[in-house]
Formats: sequence, structure tokens, C-alpha cells
Amino acid sequence: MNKANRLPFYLGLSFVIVLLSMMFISLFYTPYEPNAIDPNNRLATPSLAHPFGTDNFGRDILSRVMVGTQTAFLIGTTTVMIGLSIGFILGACAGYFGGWLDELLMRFIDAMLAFPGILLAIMLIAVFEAGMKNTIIALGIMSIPAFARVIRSSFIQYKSYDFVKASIAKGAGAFHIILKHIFPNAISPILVVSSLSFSGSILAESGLSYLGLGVQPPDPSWGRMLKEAQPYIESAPWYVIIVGSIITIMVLGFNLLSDGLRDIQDRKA
Amino acid sequence: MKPLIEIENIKKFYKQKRTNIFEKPSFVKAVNGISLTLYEGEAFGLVGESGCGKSTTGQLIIQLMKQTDGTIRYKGKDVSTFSPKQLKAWRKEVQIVFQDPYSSLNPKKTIKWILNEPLALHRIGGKAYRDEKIIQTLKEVGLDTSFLYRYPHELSGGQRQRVAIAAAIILEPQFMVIDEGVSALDVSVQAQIINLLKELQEKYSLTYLFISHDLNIVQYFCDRIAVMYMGEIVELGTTEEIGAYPKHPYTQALFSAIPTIGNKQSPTKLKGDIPDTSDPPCGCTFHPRCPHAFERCKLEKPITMTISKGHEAACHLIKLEKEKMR
Repeated sequence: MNKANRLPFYLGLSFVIVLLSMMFISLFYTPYEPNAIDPNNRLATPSLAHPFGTDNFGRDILSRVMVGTQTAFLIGTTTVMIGLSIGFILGACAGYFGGWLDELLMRFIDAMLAFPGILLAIMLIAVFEAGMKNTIIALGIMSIPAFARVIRSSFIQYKSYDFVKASIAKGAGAFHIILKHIFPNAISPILVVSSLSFSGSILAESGLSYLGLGVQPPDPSWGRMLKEAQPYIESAPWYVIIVGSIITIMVLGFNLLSDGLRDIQDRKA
Repeated sequence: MKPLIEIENIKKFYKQKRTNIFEKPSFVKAVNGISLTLYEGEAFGLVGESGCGKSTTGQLIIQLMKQTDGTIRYKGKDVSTFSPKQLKAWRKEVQIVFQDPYSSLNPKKTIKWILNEPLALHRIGGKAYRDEKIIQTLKEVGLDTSFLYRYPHELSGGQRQRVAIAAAIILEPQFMVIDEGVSALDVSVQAQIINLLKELQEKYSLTYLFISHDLNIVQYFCDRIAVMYMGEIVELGTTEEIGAYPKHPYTQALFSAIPTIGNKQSPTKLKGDIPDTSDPPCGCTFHPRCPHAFERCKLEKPITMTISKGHEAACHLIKLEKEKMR
């Protein structure tokens, strides 16, 4: 109906598709070996040979950014998977069964929300050790409350629908109702939260890596690249700008996508 | 006639949220002591204003919610003593059709899935048998196989209600609650659905509990009628008796409000609205609105009196009348 409203969705989708294709290409091909050091070519300005220039060790920034998308997508997907699966179980139980179980689970979620997410991640990493695995676990736990709340509210909403009651009257158990009746109807809000949580996790990972707590070398990470670029902000400003822009595009892309999804879903309702 | 369902003094109270902790907990008495017997093969109508507890009663009978008090017996067996396995087997025999055909079908599932679901839940037959049964049932409710792979949003209200009925009868139940089953439909479609329900009743010797606020339909469709007011049955009897000689002032008011052609008699108007169900009036709950209320109505709750065989009502006037006659 209204074309202007769809623009953010398509803009977000195109950002995400560009980054996604960058990731797929990087699996087979990068212009240079991302970790190859070239001391003669340090902090080269962007040129045809190095479209994004080179970093302080003479490594090709484009290749490293491309490989960085792998890390970003890996972190995003796995944290969403952790958050979604645990959040689904908690939210579905709380919403469907209600009563004291709902109270208990939701107070637990409230307690998790009261913790600043990034602080929780830093704490977890400090107790265990920095690295890809612990970053994913920490960010996954961080994203549970958002999923649990949205899933709980959809469950409360659909639980009272007549088709659910009719199914109970036909002999359906809780498991059947949750998986066959409520979940298919709750997919769109779950998608919105998933894409939001995806970008949030990537941003949080960049933040952690910038602090040196996230992904450790030699795995390339945008956050760490940003940190490495910082001392050369005056001599090689493109380094910071390029890496920063890529992170922005990724986060913006997913946020626009989730906003667009919500708009489309609202209009349907 | 054999009794199929016997309800004895069932109650459903909802606790209200307290606004401060020193307050006494108050209850909304949605259903306040109903006793009924439904006989095999009859269509029993339950009428009353919205909010009087008719739907709650229907959902209590098929155990979609648990009663606060009282017993429900199905073929002589107390439903609340059923084990989970027995309960599931019993669910095959009692079904419900809801008012709003737009929310009673899962929007994400095809008609075939919706009709297959009850069969799958009870593990009836193999794939070939189920497919055949689905097509057969669709035909019975007046739909053809082109509907199989459609989604509910592609259907009209009447077609959806037919699907909802098909999903209910596919298990060949003995008892069905029709909870305002035709109220959301156009008048012409209402007639079609009512006739469909009648056909099915003959074919499967179904027993219906027909919940409605439309007296015309209830009079056409039902053998017996109970009138509910504020969670209680105020009058019960055969359709003919109640239609011709309503005894309770509330029933009289309801029936006088049916629009008729050529009848110049103005309907009895009731004062005010239904009172707050968490704080019902003392004595007879109907007295603040009753045109014939007298002193005793405020003090004493009327007991149910038998007027003639199978016709009973709860009103002090009836007792007075009887005393006069003596």
C-alpha cells in the first residue's frame, strides 16, 4: 500500500545481503591472504591494489574486513540461537502455564535485565577466559531476556484464542499446543527480536573485542581492527573510517530489517 | 430418555485482584450453583444476557476450565475423577464450536491440517483412512475438496464455521457445545448453519448444548431452554412451555423483547444494567431490575419451584401464586 514504509525494510535487506555475499565470497576468495604481513607497504592509502588500504603491518584491510564478516555472522547466528532456544523454553513455559511458574521465571528474567549486559559479558569473560567461545556464551546469555519476554507475551496472547481452546477440547496436550498452534503464529515477533538481537550481539562483540576481551588474534574481528586503527587515526584515517562504517552498515542493516519486519507485520494485523 | 450429562450445583468463582492487602478477597461469581440434566439426543438451549455465565457453563461442562465446586457426570461417571488417559478418550466424545469463526481456526494452517489434527491427536486410522474421512466430513458440512489446501483467511465466515463444525464432528462426538455458534454470522448464513446442525444431529444422534442470546434461534432449534441470570438458572422448561407461559419476570422481559411483525405490545423494559457480579444484590439477584419486586425479594433468595412437569423457575411470585390458589 504505502511504498515509503517499505523503504527501510529493503534498505536493511540490501545492506544485509551485501555483507552476507561478502562473507560467502571470503570463504573461497580474498584479494590477499588476510594475515600476510607486508612491511614495505604499511598504512598504504586506498588504491586499486588495496581498495581499502593496508594496516600498520601492511595487511590488506579489505581482505581482513571480509574475513571479519565471518566472525560477525558466526557470533550473531550463534548468540541468536542460544538466546532463542533458552528464551523460547523460558518464555513459552511462563506464558503458557502462567501462575507461579510465570512469576518465578519472569523475576529471574527481570534480574538478568537489571544487569548491564556488557558488564555481565565482561564478568563472564574475566572469570573464564577471553576467546570466541566465551564471547558467544556471554552474548547468548545476554540476549535471553529479550527473547523470553517477547515469546511470553505472544504465548499469553494466543493462549486465549479459540483455536487453542478448540484444540484442547479435541484432546491436545501442552506440547502440541505450543509447537503446532502458538509457535507458528509467534514467528513474526520472534523474527523481529532475532534480527535486533543479531545486530546487538555484533555490536557488543565489537565492543568487547575493542577492549581486548572478545575474539582473540589471529581470528580477525572488526572490534579489534578498530582498536588497532586507533593510534593511526591521524596518519591513516581511512582505516578507522572503513572499519567503523562496516560495523555501522551491519548494525544499521539489521535494525532497519527488524523495523521493516515490524511495520509489515503491524499492517497485516 | 437417558441422561447424558448431569450437572450438580457447579460453581465457578474468579478471585479478584486486591487493591490493598487488608481488603478481603472478593470473587466474581461467574457461575453460581447450576444444576442441569441433559438427555441423549436433545438440543438444550442456554440463554441470557452477555456476562451471565452461559459460556463459562459450556466450557465447564467440557472441562476447558475447572469448576470451583460441584460435580459434572458424563453417562454417570464423575468427570473430575478421570485419569489423564480417560480424559483424553472422553475428549473424543465431547466437542465445542465457538462463536467467532475468525479466531477459532489457526490462521497458519490449511483446512486439511485443521481437520487432520483431531484424528492425529487420537491416532485414528492410517493416512489413507484419514484422507478419506476428511473429504467425507468436508462433504457432510457442505464443502468440497477444493477447500483442502486453503487457509482460513481465504474463506468466508460461514465457510469457516462449517470448517469448525467439521473439525468437531470428525471425531464423531456424542455431545457438542455450540457456544454462540451462529451469532457472528449473517442471518441467511445463520439459517444454513442451523439447518446443517439439525442434519448432523439426526445423523449422529448428537446432543447439543446451544448457548445463545438469540431467542428466535433458540426457540427454533432447541427442545428445552434454560434462562440464566447472573450465574444462576432462573427458569427452565420445554421450549413450548417457556415460550407460551414464561413465569419468571426476567424470562417474560426477554421474550417480550423479541421483535414480531404486527404486534403492537411494547416490550417490558428492565431498569438499569446487570449489577456488578463481584457484589451481587442481596436476596433475589434480579430484584433491583424486576418490575414486580416486593419486600421479600430483597431479603430472601428464592428457591427453584416446580411449576409443571419439567418446568421450573426461581421466583417468589410463583410461591405467592400457589398459595393464592390453595
